[in-house]
Amino acid sequence: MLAARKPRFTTGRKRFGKRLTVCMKREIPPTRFVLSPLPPDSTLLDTRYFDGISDTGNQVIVFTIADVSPGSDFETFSSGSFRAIADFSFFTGANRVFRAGCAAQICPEGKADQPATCILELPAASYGVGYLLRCRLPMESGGEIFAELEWLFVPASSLASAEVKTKSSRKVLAARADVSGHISVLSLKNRVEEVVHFRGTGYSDLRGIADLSGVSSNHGIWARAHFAD
Amino acid sequence: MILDTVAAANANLEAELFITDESEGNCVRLPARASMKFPRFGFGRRFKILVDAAEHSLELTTVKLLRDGPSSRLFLCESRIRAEGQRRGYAICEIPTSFSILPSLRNVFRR
Repeated sequence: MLAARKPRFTTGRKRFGKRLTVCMKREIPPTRFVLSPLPPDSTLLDTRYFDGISDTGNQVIVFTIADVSPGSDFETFSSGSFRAIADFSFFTGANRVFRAGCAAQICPEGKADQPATCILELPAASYGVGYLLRCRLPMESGGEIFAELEWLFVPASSLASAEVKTKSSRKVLAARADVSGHISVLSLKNRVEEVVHFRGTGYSDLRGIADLSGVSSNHGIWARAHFAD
Repeated sequence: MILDTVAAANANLEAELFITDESEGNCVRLPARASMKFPRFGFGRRFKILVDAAEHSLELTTVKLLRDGPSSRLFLCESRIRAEGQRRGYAICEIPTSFSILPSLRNVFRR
């Protein structure tokens, strides 16, 4: 019974204002993700970074979405279509790693029910700021990852100035966020192999694309530590 | 009560600590100094990163290499901060691949 069940996308929540849809290009193999060549003028563009550590410390989520189109406003997700690279990693247990990602075309509108799509909804909750991520991405090892996760945090004006002037500058968007949701690992035949409910603490920043392309060097150690309430 | 700490250090190990306390949104930015400690005899991949500011001291102990990327490595760490008391938690730490000031890191990562 469990194996026959297929995850279902639903429409976006009304309390979230802006919606960003990423329509994946299936013809690019996911295994080429890390090595996929970037345009020469892409080094100044931005990456949105999200992570989360579970309360028990044995599960970690890392999600990045990198903009490779010149001229787009990635900080505010202004409307318009531009290229991006999405990468989702989920670490659970001692040595289990699920990684998914591919090159993408970010579109103002998209179909969320299709495989290999990613929706990132932007804030407007009354109790704080929230990012809702819903993505279905092909895994490197075959199969797909379907994730529905939420980063919720209280916006802090003082954090906006926490920008470090290094070769790869980063702007802290959320030093602490409550992260919750679930992740499903799907097999090649679209069967649900594992469902994990995630609850923990996370972080988000905006950084230079150089982090992914390998252009930067010696930009230093960057760490974020969370402590219990 | 400290809830979160973001630490940044450059190649010269000059560091900064961004500390958020329980009144969320109150972020303090402190100059600090980073250092690294390696096990003298092989205890696996674990090593420590220490970030010392005037009144706060953050200690990160690597637990697991999460991602070995083209430009940086991502580690899951146990974290410990000393301020008014001592608190323990978890951390994610990124170290650039080209961090060349410590050649002994290569041997640690290869294990």
